[in-house]
Amino acid sequence: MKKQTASVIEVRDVHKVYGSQQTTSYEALKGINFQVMAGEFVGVMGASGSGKTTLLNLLATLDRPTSGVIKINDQDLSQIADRQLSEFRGQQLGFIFQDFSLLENLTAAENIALPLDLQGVNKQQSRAQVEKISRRLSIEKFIDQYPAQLSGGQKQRVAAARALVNEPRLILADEPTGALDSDNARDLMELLTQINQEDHVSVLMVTHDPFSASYCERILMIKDGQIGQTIERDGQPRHDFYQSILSDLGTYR
Amino acid sequence: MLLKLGLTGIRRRLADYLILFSGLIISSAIFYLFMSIATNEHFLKQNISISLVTQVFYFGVVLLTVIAIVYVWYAQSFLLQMRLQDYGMLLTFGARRSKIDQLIMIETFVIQFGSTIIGIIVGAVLTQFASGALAKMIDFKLTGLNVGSVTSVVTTLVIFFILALFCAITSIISIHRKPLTQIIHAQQQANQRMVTTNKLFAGVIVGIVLLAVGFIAMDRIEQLRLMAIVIALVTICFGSYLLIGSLFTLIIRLLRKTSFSSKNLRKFTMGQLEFRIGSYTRILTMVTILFSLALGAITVGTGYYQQIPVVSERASAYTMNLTNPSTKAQKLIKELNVQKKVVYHQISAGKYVYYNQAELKQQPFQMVRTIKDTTSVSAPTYRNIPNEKLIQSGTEQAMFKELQDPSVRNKEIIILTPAKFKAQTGKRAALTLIRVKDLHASLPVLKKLAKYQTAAQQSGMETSNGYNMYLVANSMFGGLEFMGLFLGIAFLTMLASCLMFKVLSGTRADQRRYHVLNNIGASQRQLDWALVTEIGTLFIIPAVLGVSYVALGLRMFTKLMLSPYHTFGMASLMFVGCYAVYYVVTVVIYRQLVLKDTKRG
Repeated sequence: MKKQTASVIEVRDVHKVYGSQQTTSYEALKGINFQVMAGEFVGVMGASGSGKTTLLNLLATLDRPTSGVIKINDQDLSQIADRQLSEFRGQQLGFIFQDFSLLENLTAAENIALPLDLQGVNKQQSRAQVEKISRRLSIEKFIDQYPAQLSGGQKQRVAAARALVNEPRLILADEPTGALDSDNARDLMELLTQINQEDHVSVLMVTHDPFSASYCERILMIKDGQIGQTIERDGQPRHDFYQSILSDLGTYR
Repeated sequence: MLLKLGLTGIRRRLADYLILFSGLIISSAIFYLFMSIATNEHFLKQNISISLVTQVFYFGVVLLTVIAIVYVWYAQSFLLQMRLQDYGMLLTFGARRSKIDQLIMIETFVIQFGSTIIGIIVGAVLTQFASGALAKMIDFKLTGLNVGSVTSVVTTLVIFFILALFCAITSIISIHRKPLTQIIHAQQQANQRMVTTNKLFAGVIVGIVLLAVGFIAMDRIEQLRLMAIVIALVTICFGSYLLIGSLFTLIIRLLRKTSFSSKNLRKFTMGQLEFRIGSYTRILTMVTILFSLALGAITVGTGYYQQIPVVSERASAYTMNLTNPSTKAQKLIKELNVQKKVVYHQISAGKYVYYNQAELKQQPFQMVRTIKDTTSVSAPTYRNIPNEKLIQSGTEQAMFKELQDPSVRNKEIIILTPAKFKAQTGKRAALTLIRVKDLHASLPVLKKLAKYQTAAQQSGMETSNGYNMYLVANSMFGGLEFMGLFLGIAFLTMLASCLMFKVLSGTRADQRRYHVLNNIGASQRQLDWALVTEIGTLFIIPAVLGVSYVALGLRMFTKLMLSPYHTFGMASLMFVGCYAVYYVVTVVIYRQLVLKDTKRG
């Protein structure tokens, strides 16, 4: 029962300029337009300096665009006051980072519960939610260990659990496989696909890696602050899609 | 080239370096201030009437040197944390390790030596003004104060030179030990030492036993003498170390399991604290000990301050006695906040001095009522002396005679009825006795009025009234009071800055943590609160322990002063107030350093 009609992300003519008019300014994003529908798995690829990170920061509400409109779950981000942004982040978005961004002084379980604590969810409910997501991601065994005691793959699973624990409709992933070996990368991508398909959570993933990108349904290629090309999977088997990304990357450069 | 690299490093992080710089200036200034007094034996001997005074100050210097070492050490790790990544970059570019060593040497010396020199100047100014102001505040005349003493300048320079050298060398060694990758990605590694709960319990028990031994030893100071202090210092240091390390971890561990922890960022704060306590136990122990020493010194200092007027008021029922005060003197008396003023007219003729019965009946002569409780510092109460006591020889009569002008003191007192008094011939005079409400507050006027006293009184040969007693007591206790306040304030400044630097040297690791929290949706308020409680806990532990130690340790002084506890509350409040200022400053700087990337939302 996928709701294909509603858009989770809507980006219209977004520009981002760094620096002021007087000094040398740099336009990182030059009019970006795209939509992500509910339940979609979208990848964003591009070379370093293409504007990927800037775009992700804007979507993550960590920064504001110079002009243009960004809507997440139909809410215009420019209408949300700075003070409420953190709450918005906590409730509507889930984040997965390349460096896992786990807090090493909290156990895995405490790390996962953190977004719930921040929103004042009571202990019983919080514990229930942590248990549920841990079972779902098969991490119950090491839930009481500290990040330093976990492997890279386990850490990223814990990070994924933290991103999912408050049941967001959108996951923003920033090079999630960047610090993982190929086996763990495969595991994580399969996990994200599974969550995307079974729970209808939309995923927007920024990546360098064609292999990770091949799990997406659609890939936006960013170059010099603009979306240059969109590659659709169109029901291709993943391996074929991987090949076509590789050949597209070759021609795109 | 190297010098330029080192100095640009300083320019680029000016704000961070300013913190470091000002911190080091404070430490060297206080050190100098202390040295300039401790090395001035002449000054100490002249002003403080205790033979042990130089030893006490030397003991203080040793303690202060220890603190300075720790302090400079933390300041250096604060510096190193700022520069480590730059060094890593230089090494990646192919700089030789020896170049980096030179760079560290140059930076450390520029910063430490520069701040020491400024510190000495600040210290000299402080010595002049702070000691002057302090002496004035406690109405104590300091003699022989030497602001720019060569000995203390040289000692301060030498000690801080050695410290800088020591710091530079240890920094170089620590950088040499690290592999390049660790220097580049200089991230604090969370090395959690898992101590079992049983061990923690054992730690708490041993800690409490050690503390008990220490305080019992202090209580037996009369039998144990100097050994009491030695035993107490050792056992209380180790006891505090164990108690802080284990009790605190234990409490956090228990709290983490309760539902109290699952709100806002409490779990995060507790995690931070549990991880930190390992590296904080030593500094917190040191701060606790210093805190109690400083608070103790201030309590005793202010105790004497309180005690001086009490002693003076007990000495005589009247603050001042004047025979035939001039109009000018009368005017000054009007300025005083007088509790009681009596005028007895007298006629002296031959071997006798006559008083009016009516006057003595209407406003009887009074004496301080003796109290049994020797520790009481309450205001004295007075009893009326019946007239017949004045004509019999005895203490009462002696007291009264003392207040008269010397010219009539040897004459026999005779009390006449009003009619007879009126008819009596002879030299007429008026004896004016005044008692002020607040001796401290009345001092400026009393000083002026003192000029109208008799020659013997002015030369300090007589202490028949409260004011003269005050002068004597103040010259006796004033030095002690000065010493207590001075030691207390010097230690407070040092220890609080020490703790501040220790906290600030952990900012780098925290920057990332707070950044992550911000990303996953913690609001600015939640982040602020986490920061305030985390640092607050680190500051509160030594304060609570320190105050309780002083509460117990003051028992030792019950033999030396009226009531050491009398000023304890006030001194603690004052002390904690100053300490709180440091806490606020630390939070503000810390927040600036840690949350600078997370201004949004």
